[in-house]
Amino acid sequence: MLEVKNVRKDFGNFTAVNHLSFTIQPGEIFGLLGTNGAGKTTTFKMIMGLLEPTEGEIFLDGQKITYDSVDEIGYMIEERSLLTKMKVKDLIQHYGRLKNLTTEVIEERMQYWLKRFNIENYYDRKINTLSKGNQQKIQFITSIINNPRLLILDEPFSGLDPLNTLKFVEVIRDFQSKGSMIIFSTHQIDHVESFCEKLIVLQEGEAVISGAITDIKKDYKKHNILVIADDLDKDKLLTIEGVDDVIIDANQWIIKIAEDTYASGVFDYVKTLDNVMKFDVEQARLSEIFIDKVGESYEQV
Amino acid sequence: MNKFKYLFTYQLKQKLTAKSFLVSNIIIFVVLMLLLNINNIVRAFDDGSDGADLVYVYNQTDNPNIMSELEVYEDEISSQLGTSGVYFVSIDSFDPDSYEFEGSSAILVINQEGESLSADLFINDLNVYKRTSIQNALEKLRQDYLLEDKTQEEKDLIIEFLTPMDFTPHLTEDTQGKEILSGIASFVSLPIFMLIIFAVQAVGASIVEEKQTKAVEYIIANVSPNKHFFAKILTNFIFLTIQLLLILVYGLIGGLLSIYVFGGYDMSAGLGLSDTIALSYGIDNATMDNIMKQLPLTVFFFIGFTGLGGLLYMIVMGFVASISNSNEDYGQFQTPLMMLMLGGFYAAMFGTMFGDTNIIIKIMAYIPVFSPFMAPSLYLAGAFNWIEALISLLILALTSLFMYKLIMPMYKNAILSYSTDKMTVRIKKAFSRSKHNK
Repeated sequence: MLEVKNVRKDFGNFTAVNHLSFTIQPGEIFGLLGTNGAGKTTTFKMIMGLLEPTEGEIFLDGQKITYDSVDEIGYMIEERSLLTKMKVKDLIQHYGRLKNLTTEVIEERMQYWLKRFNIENYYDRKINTLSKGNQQKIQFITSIINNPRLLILDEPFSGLDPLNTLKFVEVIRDFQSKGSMIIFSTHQIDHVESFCEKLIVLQEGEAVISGAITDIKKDYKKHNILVIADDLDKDKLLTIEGVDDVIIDANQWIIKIAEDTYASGVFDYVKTLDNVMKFDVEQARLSEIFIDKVGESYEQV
Repeated sequence: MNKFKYLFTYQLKQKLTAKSFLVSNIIIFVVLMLLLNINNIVRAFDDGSDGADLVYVYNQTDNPNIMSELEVYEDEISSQLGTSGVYFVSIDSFDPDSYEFEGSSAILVINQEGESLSADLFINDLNVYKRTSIQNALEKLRQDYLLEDKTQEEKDLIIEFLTPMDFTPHLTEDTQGKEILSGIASFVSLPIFMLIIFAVQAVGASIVEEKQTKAVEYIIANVSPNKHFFAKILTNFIFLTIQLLLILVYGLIGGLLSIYVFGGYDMSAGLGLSDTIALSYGIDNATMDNIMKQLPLTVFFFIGFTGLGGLLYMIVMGFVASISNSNEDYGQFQTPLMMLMLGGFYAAMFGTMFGDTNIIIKIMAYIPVFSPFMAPSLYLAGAFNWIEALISLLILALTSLFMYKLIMPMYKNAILSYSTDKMTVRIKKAFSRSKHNK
């Protein structure tokens, strides 16, 4: 289990992370969300021991993370951290050796992962001749070459096309099923919603949302009603009690209500219309919760 | 294998198997072979006749044998000077207002007024050595001419007038050895300077590359900064030592080739190596023995100052590289240190070149930033005795240790920081954070 306990990090007068706490159990995928400069990378660096927390402690299975335990951790850095003049095979070997693996084990695992990511032909190629997406794959392979118990992924999907994103997600799911703890940061909230169990949203170093996604959504009162019907009147909808906003989408109307109890008022109006094809009350999307909590700063990202 | 050992062996292997290492060593080897055997090479291509210049002689004296006498003297003198000499061809007429060289290098006109001889040399293309040999031959000819048909008393008087004052400098064996060593002292700083520059650039480039590509974050996440930094320094230190030893081996091979293969060393003559070297370079045996006695300490100080000087500069340059975000930063930040190195190098070169060494030069040779370049030169030049050189070496060793202790805690903060502040601010930040993180 990874425990981050009341951690704070100051850089001079600037507080990058302020009293952050969370835990990750084996087999859990944990999302760390936030705008640029929210403190995500600083948190990861503190977990890896690259930065010393000003306050608080971080434990992996009850022990402080030291250079003796880093071999069980995989770390993918946000910006590509590859020695670009090296060949793929040499770089993976080099990084693998820094995880105390033998050359034979690294070679065997390297062949497997290169094949799984369809880049086995690049085995003998120099890193700087590869596309950004393929460099990202190499970086991902270097972070999982040691079959980590704790996998830290800082923006793992940036610069990836949807197909490769799916491939990354599959691999992350595999590690999850083997009991690894996975923590990752992303700007793409859809990914968090699709495969995270728990998350924290950071804003200026402080957690503004945290917990299990189902609980966060449940606790969030606002709901959306999706409607397809003839002659919907926006002004009329906005006069109904509890309706906050009405958004006209390409093929449906989205009526935002303050609580699910106000759905009946909207339903009373919609049932008077002709051709009602859809009336669906759903929980607010994670991105809406995120924007609601983080506000304009996220929209600027 | 622990990670430090892995990093050390990995980096050393990378360096020793690099193409640049192979190519540079081939070049160094070839250059050293050429330098050490240049005399033999020149001798191999010089059979003594090809370079002889044609000089026409217009004889206006009443002595018809003057040509043959001149030739004998010129041959003698040019062989002493080691030049290919000239050969003379007599001409029947010469007009100083209108003449042509017609393929000759010069035209020599020998005149006579009473008993006195004079000469004019009209030069087309004749080097200074050959001019000197002709002049000396003419001088001998003049002496012969003056002595002709004289009584013994007159001859003695003339010879006494013509003989220059006998002036013989008497050097002790020790002084002569020192003179030879001080002759090469000013050049000793050059290989030290080159090797240290080579080593610090390698450390800096390697750290900057890892930092610039952010690979250092992956590496430091797995290996402690202490191990990372020390592995870099040790790798380059060992690499520098290997390179140094290789150069010494190349020099030894070159010297042995020069003596045993090209120099025609006669095993049956029963001469020792130092005797043979003395013979090859025209040094008397006693002086050579004296030089050989000084050689072990000279080599010790050369290796000691190069190694420890390299270490000190690598530690400092490693830190400078760690606060740099790019090669441009590094290039800018290392300038003050490069200036210090250049200062030490020039002080060593010119401080020993003119023999006398002033007190400022001697003080500089104790200052660790200058001593790697200066102390070995001063020792060779005789300005430092072995105790003074050893004290300078100890100061250098202690300073290197102090700098390592000072810089090490700052390194972790510096290498993971991408601050764009001024250099001094970055150093201050690294220092204050290192104290905070203790």
